[in-house]
Order: sequence, then structure tokens, then C-alpha cells
Amino acid sequence: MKHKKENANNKSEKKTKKKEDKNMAVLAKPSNKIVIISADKSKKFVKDFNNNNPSKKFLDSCKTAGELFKRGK
Amino acid sequence: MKHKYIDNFNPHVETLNRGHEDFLCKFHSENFAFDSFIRQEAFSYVNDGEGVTRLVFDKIDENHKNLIAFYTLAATSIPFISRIKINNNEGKIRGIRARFKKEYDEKICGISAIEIKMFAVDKNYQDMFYKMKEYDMPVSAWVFQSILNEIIGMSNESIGAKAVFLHSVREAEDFYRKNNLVFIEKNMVPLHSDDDELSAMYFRLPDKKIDMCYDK
Repeated sequence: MKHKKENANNKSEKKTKKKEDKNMAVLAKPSNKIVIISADKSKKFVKDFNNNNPSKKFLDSCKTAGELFKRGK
Repeated sequence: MKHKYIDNFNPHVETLNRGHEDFLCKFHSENFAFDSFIRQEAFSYVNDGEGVTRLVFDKIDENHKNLIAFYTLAATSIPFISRIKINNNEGKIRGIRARFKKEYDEKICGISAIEIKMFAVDKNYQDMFYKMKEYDMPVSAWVFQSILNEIIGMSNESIGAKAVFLHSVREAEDFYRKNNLVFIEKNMVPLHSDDDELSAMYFRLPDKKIDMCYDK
């Protein structure tokens, strides 16, 4: 994992945390960390992962969103 | 609560390039870090291999379009530990158990994933809904599900991946749960953390599974 120097982006993220609490426009941001699943949790994680196949209903919704975007081209 | 609806919604996606700079100045998520990213850092992200940014436009007419959202994708891996018990014979032959008193052979493996590194929606499209067929959803959900649809297509046609992964801001956790993302448990410890407020979440790509060895 490449270690990064803290950059202006991280500093500005800390300044705006209070603002973030007030709006939903920002939904995801990067984080300088690796999530590593520990040995004793791996089995449960993999079991849960394999049981979490998305439903056909949700996949159909995603397909419809895809159609909407193709239509807009 | 009555929602605001957009009657005509004609979205499409373009990959960020220098020709988009005028649009970037007009994009406002009301978060300085994200607005700063799209205007200043997104281009260097591509050059450094950190992520590719895609812009979501709403076409108003033949001559006008609005930049309504952006997202940044990157290849990643979710590490986990695979553990195999070393049997007595193998241990003796390899001398592992004798030398290291090892009962298990543990290896760090990776779940291939596509990370959504950034995702932001313009303030003018916040809390706006759109209805199509039987689906009545916020614009942000339409955009997010189109991203998932795009990644599903990529995982079947151009790059192998088992999951979509992201770090959610706290206020968006509900939004992602409603869109089928699942938390990676907090006690699955990250190597280090810059921001404890972010939650790691994933979406399993359909029919992709992990084959794992794990002996107790």
C-alpha cells in the first residue's frame, strides 16, 4: 500500500465535516486506508458475501437506470 | 413528505476531459473538498492512476446540458485471510511445523473490486425525484444504480471483479443500504485510518462468489 502524504484534499475534508452533516450531495469519498479482514472474521465475511447475491428486483432497477442513461445519449 | 419531481430527465455520462472545464466551475455540491477535487485534482487522479472520473449530464436541449453529478472509479482489492491447516505429514516433509511450530498456513488473498472513490451530486438535483416505468426514485439513486449497472457490465465484459466497494460518509449510509450495499464490519480492522467517520461498504456483483479455504 502506497503511503500518501496528507494533501490539501484531506485538510479541506477536515474543515468541512460540519457542513457535510447538513447536506446529502456528497455521498462517498476516498480514504487512505486498506480494509483488511482479520483471520477470525474471514470465514464469516466470505459466507456473508456469498449469501449477499443482489435480488433480481434490484438488478432490474439497475438495468432500467442503465436504459435511462442510454436514452439520454 | 411531498417530493419535488423533475419532468424531463435525459442523463448521459462522459469521461472527464479538459473540454469540460467550464462545466466544472458551475458544479456545486456545497462541499468544498468535493468541488475542489473535481476542479483541481480529478485530472491528476487519471495521470497518477488513482481513478478515472465520469461526469453525469442532464441534457436540457440540443445546445444545453447541466453537470449534475460525478463519480470516480478505481480498481481495488478487499484483502482477507485464507487459512489452511498444515497436516502432520506435510508439516514433517516441509519441516514447517518443526521449524516454525506452525499449525496453519495463512495467506492474504484479495477480493477483486471496483472502488467508487468519489460520488457527488449537484445541489440543484438534491432531493429531486424522477419516475420512469414503475420506478420512482431520487435522481441520486438513478445515477448510483446506473453506476452499478455500468460496473456489472464491466465485470462481465472487460475487467474481472467480484464487488463494488466504497467509503460512505455517515449521512449517506442509509442511501447505500437502500441501494443494496452492505457494511464491512467495523472490527475488520483497517491498517490505519485517516477518518473514522467513513464506513466501508460493498455490493456483491451478481453471481460472483469467493472460493475460500478456512480450516478451524
